[in-house]
Amino acid sequence: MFENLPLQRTDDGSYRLTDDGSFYVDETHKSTAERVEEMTGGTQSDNGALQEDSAASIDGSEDDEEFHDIDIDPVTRVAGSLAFHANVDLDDRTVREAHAQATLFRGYEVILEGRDPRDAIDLSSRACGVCGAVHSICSSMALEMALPVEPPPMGVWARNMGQAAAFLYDNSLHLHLLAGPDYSASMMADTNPDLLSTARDTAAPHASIHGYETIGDIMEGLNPLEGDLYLSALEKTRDARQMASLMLGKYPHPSTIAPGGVTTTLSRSSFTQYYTRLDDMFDWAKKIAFLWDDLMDFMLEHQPGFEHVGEHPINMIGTGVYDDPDVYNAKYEDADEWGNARLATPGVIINGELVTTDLTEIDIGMEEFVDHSYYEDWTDESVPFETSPGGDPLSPYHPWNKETRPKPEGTSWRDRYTWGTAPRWDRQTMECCPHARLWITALAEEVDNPFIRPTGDGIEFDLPEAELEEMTLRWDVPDRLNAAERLRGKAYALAHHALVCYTGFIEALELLKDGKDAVHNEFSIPNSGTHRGVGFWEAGRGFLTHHLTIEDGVIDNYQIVTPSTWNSSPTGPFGQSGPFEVGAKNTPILEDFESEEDFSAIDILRGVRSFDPCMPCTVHMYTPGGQDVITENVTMTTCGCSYDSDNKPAEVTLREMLADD
Amino acid sequence: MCLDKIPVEFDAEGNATLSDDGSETTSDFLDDVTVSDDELDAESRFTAVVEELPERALDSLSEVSDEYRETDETRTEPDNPV
Repeated sequence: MFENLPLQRTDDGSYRLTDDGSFYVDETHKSTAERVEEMTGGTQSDNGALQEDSAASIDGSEDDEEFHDIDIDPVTRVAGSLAFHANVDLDDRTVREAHAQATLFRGYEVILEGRDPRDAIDLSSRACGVCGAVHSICSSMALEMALPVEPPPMGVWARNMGQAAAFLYDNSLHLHLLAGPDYSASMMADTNPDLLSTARDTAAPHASIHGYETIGDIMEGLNPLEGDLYLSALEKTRDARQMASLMLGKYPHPSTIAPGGVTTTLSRSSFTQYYTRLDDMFDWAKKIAFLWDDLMDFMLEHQPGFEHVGEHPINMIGTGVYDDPDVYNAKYEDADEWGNARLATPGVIINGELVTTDLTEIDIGMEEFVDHSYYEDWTDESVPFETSPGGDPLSPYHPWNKETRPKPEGTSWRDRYTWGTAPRWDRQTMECCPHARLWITALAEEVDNPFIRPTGDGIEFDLPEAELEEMTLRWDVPDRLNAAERLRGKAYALAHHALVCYTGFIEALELLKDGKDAVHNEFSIPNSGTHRGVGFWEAGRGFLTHHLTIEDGVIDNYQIVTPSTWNSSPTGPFGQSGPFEVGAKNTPILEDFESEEDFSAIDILRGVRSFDPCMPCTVHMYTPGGQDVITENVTMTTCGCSYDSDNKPAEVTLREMLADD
Repeated sequence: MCLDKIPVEFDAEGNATLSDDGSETTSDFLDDVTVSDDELDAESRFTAVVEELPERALDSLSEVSDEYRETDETRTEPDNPV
């Protein structure tokens, strides 16, 4: 199982340290000095990332006319705490060096220390305003394990149905409002005008389903703020958030999430309003899967090299999501059973091979490193936990043993440059997103559901009749992992989410018929002793864990690992860069440009944005007066709850950002 | 105006305000996901939900409910069922 961690499986299936094995990263591993030597004096890699004479330009200390430094901040289209630095050889059309930089310290781990454990649900929820329920649910699951308490079946289904609806919103948002504009006609006219002409003359193979006659029409539809696809998606995000609100009370940051279930009032109209919107989502899922198939197949066929944009080795990790209340009991020792009963299977894929679907193996294989981050190492003190609750050895770099020690300092691409950390599984980089969720679920073939059928090499989704006839969609496991397959996977993920909503609706009706409408079980906080829990859930972008330790009734340690922590990881102690950085370095420069001034870096952006970087935090709000509407923060503090200094409305800010792109 | 369901209007400078024209008022916009307690027991709520579903959904649901139950019955139980 583990190739790099000093762990050996015993006959009873548990793990022990290998003879003389140690988790500590010492001089036998690559030191920072050695890595700098490689970065600055090493030989050129296959993808042209580094060259002999690149030291000065990487550091930015000397001008080098051959190479072009690019700083993109923010990367996402909303607001940003993710910046990206790349060094590009415009003649060779290659990316020589790339660094993803989380520019803000969010600090929830520090904020939560010493607080009442119940605070964790509401406070950690604010880690993201886009995926504003995933952290609440993940936190409540960590508490369920620590207390312990188990939710009733209707509570589990309400959570699943609320989450699946939130993902319908989240993934639609990314596809059409954040990543989609990279393929819009207005963008293509600037960066790939010949390709746009070809697109306008190319019939869309599935026009009869999604309604766009040509690929050019799809690109026109993706034009920001005015394209009909962009606007339809915007309204679908509203409908899906309403579905989430019906199950979870409100969205984002639902206040009904608690250990032991939810506290939502689920009345007759909750279900009928939910179904009305779900019916529409079935057709949305059908259209979007075929639409993105058409768009990405066009790009792959007509833009040579596009298959390398954002390309990353096929290494993925996911925690799985959507519990079966007949199996879920919140116990760590049973986590492999309830994890494998989920409607999206947990797992790890390395070099295209599924190596585990067990949550306990996913857990003990996790470590976090801070060699290139604005934190101090914490392993100078004895570790709190040498083993997991199941008795398996834990690394001192494991989240339950991690201590957050922020150490802000200047940015150096050679040394420390990000507030992100470097999570590794079995000391290897992993990426996560909806495509990883589908990929793992397809290979695992664990899901047993009449509408969602993994086949080992793909997944079939049976979407019921709505305005469009019933359809079976099939997502095939791709042969490479790149921007195109991330976006295609996200489009097919809508079918998965819609069918989880559907399954939940049927299950909820069955529970009502049997008189089982309880949504919550009581819990109490133990006021003495040490209690541990971990929430394994997923965000819109995949993998999510919250590791919690309660000591004498208050939080002693709280550690969150998000999907973007994995994806935006800096270089770790074993020399591997994170997925954003590797994806950028593998990206060829395909755009049309005459001179350096015309260069837009769109290919790098397409690669990075295909991951759906979850680093922005925006606040849209109604003012108390009720007439002035939206304020969006652009300059942010910890979780981004400050106003833009110019007090610009969202539209203006958005237009400026789009213009800047 | 690019948003036809959300009652927001933007002026020439991009400032957003709630729209006060048309039938969709602020109240409508905010109320459309309001859920009131139905004071029904679970079984009565089941009946009420089913009654309010569109016919197409009912046909579809009754078909898949049977199929779903069959799948559920053949589902392999875990070694350590809760």
